Amino acid sequence: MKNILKQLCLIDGVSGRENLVRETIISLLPSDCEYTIDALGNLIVTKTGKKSSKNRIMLSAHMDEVGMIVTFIEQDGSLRFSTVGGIDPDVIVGSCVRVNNISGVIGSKPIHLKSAQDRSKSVSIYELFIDIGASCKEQAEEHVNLGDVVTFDSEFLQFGEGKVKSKAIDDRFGCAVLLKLLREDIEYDFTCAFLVQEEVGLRGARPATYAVNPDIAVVFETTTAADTPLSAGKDKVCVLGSGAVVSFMDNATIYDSELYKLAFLTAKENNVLCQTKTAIAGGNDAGAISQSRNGVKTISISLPCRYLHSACCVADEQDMDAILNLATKILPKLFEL
Amino acid sequence: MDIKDTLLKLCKVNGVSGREDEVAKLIRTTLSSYSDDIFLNPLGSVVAKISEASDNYPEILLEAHIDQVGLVVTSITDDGFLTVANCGGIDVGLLISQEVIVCGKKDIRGIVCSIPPHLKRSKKKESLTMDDIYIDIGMSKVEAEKIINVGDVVTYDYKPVCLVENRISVKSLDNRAGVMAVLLALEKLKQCDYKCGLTVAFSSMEETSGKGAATSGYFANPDLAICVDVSFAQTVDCPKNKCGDMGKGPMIGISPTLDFNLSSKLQNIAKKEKIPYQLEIMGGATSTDADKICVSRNGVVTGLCSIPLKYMHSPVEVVDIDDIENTANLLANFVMLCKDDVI
Repeated sequence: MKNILKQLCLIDGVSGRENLVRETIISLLPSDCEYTIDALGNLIVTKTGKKSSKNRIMLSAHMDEVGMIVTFIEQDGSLRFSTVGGIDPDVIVGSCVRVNNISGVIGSKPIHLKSAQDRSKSVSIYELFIDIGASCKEQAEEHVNLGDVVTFDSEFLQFGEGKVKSKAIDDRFGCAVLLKLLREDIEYDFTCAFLVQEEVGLRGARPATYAVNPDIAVVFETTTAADTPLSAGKDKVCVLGSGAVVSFMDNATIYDSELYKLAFLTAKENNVLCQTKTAIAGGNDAGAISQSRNGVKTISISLPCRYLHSACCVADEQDMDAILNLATKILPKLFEL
Repeated sequence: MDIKDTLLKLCKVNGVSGREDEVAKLIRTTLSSYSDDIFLNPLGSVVAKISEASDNYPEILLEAHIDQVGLVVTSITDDGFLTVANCGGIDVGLLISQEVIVCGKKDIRGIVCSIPPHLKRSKKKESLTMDDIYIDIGMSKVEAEKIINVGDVVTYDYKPVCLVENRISVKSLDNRAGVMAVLLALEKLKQCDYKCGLTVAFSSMEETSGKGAATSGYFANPDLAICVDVSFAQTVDCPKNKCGDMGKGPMIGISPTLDFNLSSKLQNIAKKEKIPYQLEIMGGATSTDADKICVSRNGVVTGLCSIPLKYMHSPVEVVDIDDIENTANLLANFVMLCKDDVI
């Protein structure tokens, strides 16, 4: 799992430019799968099992990651940008990025030149710029175009006790889970949807779900774990090491209660660690999927992840195993519901 | 000497203010090509005698600080997170979400915690302080305590980036760029004849107290000194009157606390040898080692040369290699051309 995850995380695929991620996923599909690519770039993969279930099941994950897009080139060669997806400007100050295969840095006004007022203020995106080393606009234009996307430059590393740090764990993890499930020996037909543009408004999910027309959907995602000293009690939302996160509600969806209970029951029966979110926070493709056509019964199974939407997402390998385990155990039950 | 290669080696080793051992070791090894007379003082500064002055020629000191800004561990929480304090001036805002290395019994990777958006919205946090900074090392307290002690230092992670043109971005260019310029000057001078005495000093603790320079200056006991540091290179968000331009050469310091004749002499040499240069005008003390060295013993005629640098004290500081080379050229030419008349 870790190897596929690493391979996927290191690919650059900001919302709207998911091509390389999609190509890699296609190259990793087992030979007995068929796939289509729709107008937005969603990759819809069907696996034929020995039987057809009365419930059409769709599993989904999104291929895109948050990033930035170049909006303007200053006379001194620095690049102004907008964020793509929700990035807090405070987490990108002092970071390394990649634009058009060129390295750049997002620096910061030196503390020595900041007034006392400015020193502790949150930074605005309009104050930031990317430095690729160009000394003037013309030089910058030799390497970069307006509209180029920018990704975090962040290695995939293991650290601490069973922890992993990388960019784009959201949601290359979900993609890795789908790829693993496609390789399993599963009795029934099912569909895996690798979606685009989740980070910019759950957009890929709409046409994909319309095309697949499922009865039940399971969204594999990552979700905010705030289990650091900066949060207390319920504000931690979920905890690394406490297993798969199955939530009852977030800002985009009230999940199907039958499926929610089934997930916890399945986890208990199989000794898989499972937790829920203690705050209503975040949202994912389930928000779009659940309202497709006449409605779709939906749950999400998520990886607790610290520092989401930054270059350094942190997750626990134990939780990754728990999710894969839960997925393989719950899937047969969904076919027979 | 491959400048980029040597510079990156210098930036890779750690030397948070007060804990410069690794850098000092690397510098002493490098200096052994130029001197048999190398002294490591009790505060961690390295001083080496390169040559003795001929009659009536001055003893020159070229100096650069070797320490970098960082953090120091103040406690380990029950959940295994680390609290820290500043060791040198790091902007708290820059720490959020950074990758760091904790220098414990072995080097441990950490991530500085960031405040999740849902929490930011509910608490209107206007100002960030060190009390809001925790380092996630992904371990339990029990495991953490086996490797890390309170008092261990923390640095930015080493992530070198080659930019277009001859520019690089990496931690600790403040002041390994200055160190590089002095070492490069020594390399150039190796092939040359000159009559001035030459000592080099690589001082500890500039970012915190300046005691490394006070003590290295004392030991070197020169007639005149040039300190080599970094200073602000212009970016869109900085005031023009406080910055030099990247790529336009060393910034020669002019200030009431620096020797005006020496500043002029440096400019003249730059003009004569066609070395690009700029001026950095300051109204008082320079906030560099020059402030300590010039009041050492009976006083020292002191000048300052700074390499333009962007994003000072961040993990992504940027320099232009050409500026380092031109600074080294200026220093080497100064040593060769300097005569008694400058004092």
